[in-house]
Amino acid sequence: MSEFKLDFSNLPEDLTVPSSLIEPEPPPPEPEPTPEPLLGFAGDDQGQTTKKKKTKHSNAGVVVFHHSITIFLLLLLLGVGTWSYLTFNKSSFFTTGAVNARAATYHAHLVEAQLYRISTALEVAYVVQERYPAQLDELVEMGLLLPSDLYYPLGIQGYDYARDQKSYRLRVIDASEPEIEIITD
Amino acid sequence: MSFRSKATGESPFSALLNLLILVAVVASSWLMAPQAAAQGGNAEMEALLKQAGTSTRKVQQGPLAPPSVTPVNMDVHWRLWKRVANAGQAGVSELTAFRNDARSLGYHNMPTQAMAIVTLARRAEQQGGEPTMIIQLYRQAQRLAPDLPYPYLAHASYLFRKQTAEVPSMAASYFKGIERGVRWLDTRLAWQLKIIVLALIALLGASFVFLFTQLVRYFGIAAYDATRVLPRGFSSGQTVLLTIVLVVMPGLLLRSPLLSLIILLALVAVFQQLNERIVTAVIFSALALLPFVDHHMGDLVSFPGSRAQALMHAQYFVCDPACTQALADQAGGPQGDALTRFTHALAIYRTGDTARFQALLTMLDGEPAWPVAIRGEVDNLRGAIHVALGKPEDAAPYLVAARTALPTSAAPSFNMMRAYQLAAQEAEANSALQEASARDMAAVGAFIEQDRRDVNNQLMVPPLGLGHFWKHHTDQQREDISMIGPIWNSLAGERLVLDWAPYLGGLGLLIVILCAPLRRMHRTSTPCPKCGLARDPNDAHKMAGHHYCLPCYRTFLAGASLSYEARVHNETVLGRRDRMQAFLRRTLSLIVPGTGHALAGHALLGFGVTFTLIFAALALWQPMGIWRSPFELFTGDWLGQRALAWAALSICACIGLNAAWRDIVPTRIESPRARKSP
Repeated sequence: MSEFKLDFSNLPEDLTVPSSLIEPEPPPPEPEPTPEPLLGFAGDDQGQTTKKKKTKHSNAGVVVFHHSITIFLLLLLLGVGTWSYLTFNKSSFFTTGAVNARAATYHAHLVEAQLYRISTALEVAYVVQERYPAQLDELVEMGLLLPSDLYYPLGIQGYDYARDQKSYRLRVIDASEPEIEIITD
Repeated sequence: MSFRSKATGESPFSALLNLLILVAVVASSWLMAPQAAAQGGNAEMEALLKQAGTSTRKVQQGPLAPPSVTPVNMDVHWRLWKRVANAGQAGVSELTAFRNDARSLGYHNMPTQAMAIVTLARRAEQQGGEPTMIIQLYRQAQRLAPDLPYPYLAHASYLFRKQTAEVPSMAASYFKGIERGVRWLDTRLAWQLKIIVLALIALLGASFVFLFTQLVRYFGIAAYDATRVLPRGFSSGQTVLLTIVLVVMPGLLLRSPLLSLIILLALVAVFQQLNERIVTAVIFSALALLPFVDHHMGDLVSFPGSRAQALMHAQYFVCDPACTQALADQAGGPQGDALTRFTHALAIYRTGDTARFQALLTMLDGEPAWPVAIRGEVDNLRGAIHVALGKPEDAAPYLVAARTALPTSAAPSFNMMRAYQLAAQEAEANSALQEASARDMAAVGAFIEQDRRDVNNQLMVPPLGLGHFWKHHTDQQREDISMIGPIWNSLAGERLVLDWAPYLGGLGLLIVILCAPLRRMHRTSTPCPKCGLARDPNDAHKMAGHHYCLPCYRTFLAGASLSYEARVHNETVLGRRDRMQAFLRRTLSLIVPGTGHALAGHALLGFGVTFTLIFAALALWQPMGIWRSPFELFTGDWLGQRALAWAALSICACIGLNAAWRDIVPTRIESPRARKSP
């Protein structure tokens, strides 16, 4: 009886052969001693081989020092954090009186500038139409002002405007802000 | 969602197209401008000299007459013009008559009427008016308010929209508008304030983004190098904890988040490359300059409604009797200063009432000592008054002194020409006229064509330079204004006051500069361009100075030296880190363009892109800025800044999308050459 042998030479290329049918290859030679994988946190391994060898033989004192530092740092962070949290509500990041007073000062200047701007538009409208507009919205309709001009700067509720034949009164709707009254002959 | 602008109805794409055309126009005009100016200048000079030949001979002895017109004449001309304009004509002759009357009355600029003409020109444009008429209207508006930028900008805008063939004219008008806008205080200060505010907000945003990228890039390296430096008992975990404590604790103690961020930036600055160091230096410099910028912004924002602005308007606009009386009250009051008294004197002079001129001279002589800065103008005014009174011999010393004190002004030489005319010295008059023309041909040309015999047409007494008003404003005691203060307080808390900013910024700059040699001498670790972990400088000799870190070098380049399992393990872990780095760069570039670049080490480009992006977005959001200028009517887009902002946004978006699509190659930091192993 002749010995039966498998022949894989004529099999299609995309056929996967069970590995159990294939004669096992001889085991690979033992790899040469190589460095261990060099990963992990950078501070632990990279370039620290000399230091690491030394720390392997460190005594108990170093361990105690190590953990003491850790505990100290954690307690410090915890303590400062807790203290800061407890006193945080005393800090006024947005509502310091002095700073707000200084901010209010420049706000008044912006209001004044805006009053001047609106009065300029009113004068232009007067020169064009020979009358002051009935309402400030007319200035927007004429294209002289932008819609946002009537509510600028932020924090005001708008402008109060009244006119008669030859004059007008314009003031911001805020009791403490300046007022412009123009009378033309 | 529509990208169409509500104000202008333009889409960003048409704005971009317009911008491209504008760039081409500006470039061509810039190239052609010197030749055109030379040709125009020669022709103007020839015409002026020809006219001067006859003008210098026109002499009428005695004091000049008061103006023969009143505001009623102006009103009549204005109403006539409106009737003509409503009939669809430009009404140039009516407006010329109106302007001549205004000039006789001493009106230097008439912004209200100029803007009214612009209003009607815009209306005519919307109704399909004749282009020639509309252009004439804009030119008349320019003549009525020669110091204001808006008639010029409106003219340029119209040509840009409707008359694209008029390229040189459009560019010339645009540049004249910008030139006047930069000179005129109401616009210059408003624009300056807008730019400063937008730049500060953009700088703040870009700095936060930059700090975030530097934190991702360098915090691990900082912890690694700290581990190398600290005593043996410190582990890497402890070092990280210690670093966090050092960064966070001062901020917690002073309850100032900003302080912790500043410390963090100073910490990573130790390890940065040169380009990142430059960006950090810019941030610290801005921090150091904050109080000074804040003070300057206070000066800017307090200008509206100030006395300096009122005096400027009195000199450059119209000073009616009520205005003159107010000036008289101020000049004689306890707060009266030289600028107020000069403005008052100028207002009286412009009335042209020679009966009041002797008293005016007494008033001018009554000032103990005029400031040196305006002495030339005062002498010119004195000389002009003497000429107006028909006393050329008394005018000469003042005009000679004024000519020396004002070397670029045509006024003293021109007035000297009038004095020579009165003295019947024709040759000297011609010589003085030529000198005046050489100094300022445009100003002389505007005066020489006048034939009315009143002080405002015959003699040249221009208002003071605008710098005097700004100086007057900054010299005044004003209330303490801080625009940065509230924002600073919200970021830094109330304990870290703004006055500390120069010290913090200076300290940061010192760290940036002093630590530069550490990087140069390869004492500090650098980020690996593959995995982002620290690359120890001591490892350079093991990999021939390659820019990878040692694990990446051994895994991806010298893999044969590792075992199979070790290589597979390293490739898995390092490959994951590499993919994560690329993912971060791409995603961040998509979210905020420039962030990926900063993360990859291209700090200057990244910071610039982020800054530009935020600045452009803010300019689109608030095109008029903080202080809305009084005569900046109709639109907030007088300079075409929307088109510029859209262009900048598009460029930044393209950079971000390109980075997200193709990834950014991290910088390869130079490494020390291979050294012998110790």
